[in-house]
Amino acid sequence: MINAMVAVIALVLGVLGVWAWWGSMVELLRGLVPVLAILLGALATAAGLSRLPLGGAEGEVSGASSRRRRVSSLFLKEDWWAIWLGVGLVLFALLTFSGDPGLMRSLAINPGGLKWSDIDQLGLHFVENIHLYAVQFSVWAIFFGVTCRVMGIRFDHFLASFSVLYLVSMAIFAVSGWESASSYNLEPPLVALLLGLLLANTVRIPTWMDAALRVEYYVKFGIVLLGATFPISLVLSAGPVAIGQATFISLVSCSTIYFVGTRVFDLDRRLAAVLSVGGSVCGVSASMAIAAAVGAKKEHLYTSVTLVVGWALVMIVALPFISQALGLHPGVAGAWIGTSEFADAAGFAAASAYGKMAGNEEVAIKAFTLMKVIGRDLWIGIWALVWALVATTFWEKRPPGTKMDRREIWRRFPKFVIGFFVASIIVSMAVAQYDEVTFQEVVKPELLAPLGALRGWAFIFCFLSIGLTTRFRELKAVNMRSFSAFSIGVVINVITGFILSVYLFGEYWASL
Amino acid sequence: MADEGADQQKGLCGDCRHFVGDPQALERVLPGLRALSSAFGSVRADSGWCALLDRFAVARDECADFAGK
Repeated sequence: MINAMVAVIALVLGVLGVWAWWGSMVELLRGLVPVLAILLGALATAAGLSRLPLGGAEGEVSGASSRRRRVSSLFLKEDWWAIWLGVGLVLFALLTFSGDPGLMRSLAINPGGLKWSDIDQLGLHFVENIHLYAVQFSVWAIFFGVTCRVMGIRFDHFLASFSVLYLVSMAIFAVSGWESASSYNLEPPLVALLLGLLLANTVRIPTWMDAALRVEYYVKFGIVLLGATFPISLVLSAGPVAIGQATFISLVSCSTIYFVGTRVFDLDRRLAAVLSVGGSVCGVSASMAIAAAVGAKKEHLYTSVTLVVGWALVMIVALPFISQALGLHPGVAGAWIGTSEFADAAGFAAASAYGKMAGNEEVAIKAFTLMKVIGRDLWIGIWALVWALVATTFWEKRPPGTKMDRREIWRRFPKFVIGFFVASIIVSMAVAQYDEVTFQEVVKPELLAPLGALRGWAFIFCFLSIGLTTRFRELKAVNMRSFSAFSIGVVINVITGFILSVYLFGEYWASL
Repeated sequence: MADEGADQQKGLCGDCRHFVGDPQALERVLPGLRALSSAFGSVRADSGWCALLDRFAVARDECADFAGK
């Protein structure tokens, strides 16, 4: 009986409510539409993406019988995705710059520039801007999550992992936004790296966390965005100096590691070759590029991984503080770091950290990019071809069927560099119409600064990922002979790079 | 390397069951590779690791030890 009475009362109140508040009900329903659409879209994406038959083994095989079902490398290599996403974002920024410049500023929100002195200020910032952070997180998650899924990485794992990565990155930026952070050297690159290292080597990171720890993807995307703030005239004028300096040092250290390795330390020449390019051109990526050319064994590449990671970490921390102790100009230090560090991601961490310490991150990063990306990375394909020729001409006869030819230069070309150039050209042309005053007062804060802030996010994801993926227990113990040969190359890089960057071309790098 | 007897079947490494060319599988074979590099990068191109002969090769290589997937 009571149930029936409650039912009748509820029905009557419901009907009266619909009649009385019809307008509010329509508003409510209308407001729920986008919320439900987003929820539905997210659920469908998560479910659908997990079943996408793309990436992974199916896409990678390139034999004749598999060619028909081969997915184009344009969608399977992170270099290409870095170009599509990076250049796409630059074009979007240019489009909104003329219409709604505030959009990019909102998208690039970052607590790093707050200069807060009271924790309440920081709390208020997050309360007021939580919707902007939610949008930013969604954009990053879709950008990287969907593209990683196409490359074969599980979307659900990526989303869970990236959520942690994003929140920790946000916390690191928040700490760096403290007004006293610089007096404690709490530079975001170093904090991200050291925090990541600490976690990775004290806590067992679950396997699903690996999905979003894509060091190279983030740094390549960041480099493409860097191109947007890099005038093409500077690339063209400074490029030859960087190429000359970097090539000289690469040739000296590469040949030294190889000859000392084979003649003094009696290393297998395949191992010596893999170590020589790893220590002179581009770390593990270069080692991997020539591994097939010389028929290297797994152990050879593994040795390179250990030595590159070990020395790169030492230099990420040491070079900024040595530069600070010597009072180097950020441009000079950037060039020196560019000749000393082998891996892009590690070098960016060191250059960015010192740039922040010295108060001019932009110049340090520009000098580093010219030296490392333009001066060294571009030539990986040529190194691979040269080592293939050495192996086939001077070593034992290569197995029949091995296919290495001049097309190898393009196959192994680090394609993301194209995105760097394209972004640089597009933005240089687009802003050429503005006079100096408009450029400083409008273009820089409304267009270039947001792109720089988004690049900062990409780099912090990268630096944190370096720390979280560097697990010392996973690295292979190397023998003293390999360590010695490689270390001699490191010393040559550091000393020769210092002499050229500081004494011979010091004025040039300081004037960037 | 196996000899090249005329009776032995040759095939491309990319189609061979011993060839590890999938980037995620390659990163599992070489833990630590992801720390400062990636198997998803262009510079790797179509290189992979032959689990049978323990040597790196390109998917376009041919080998007398070919075994279909």
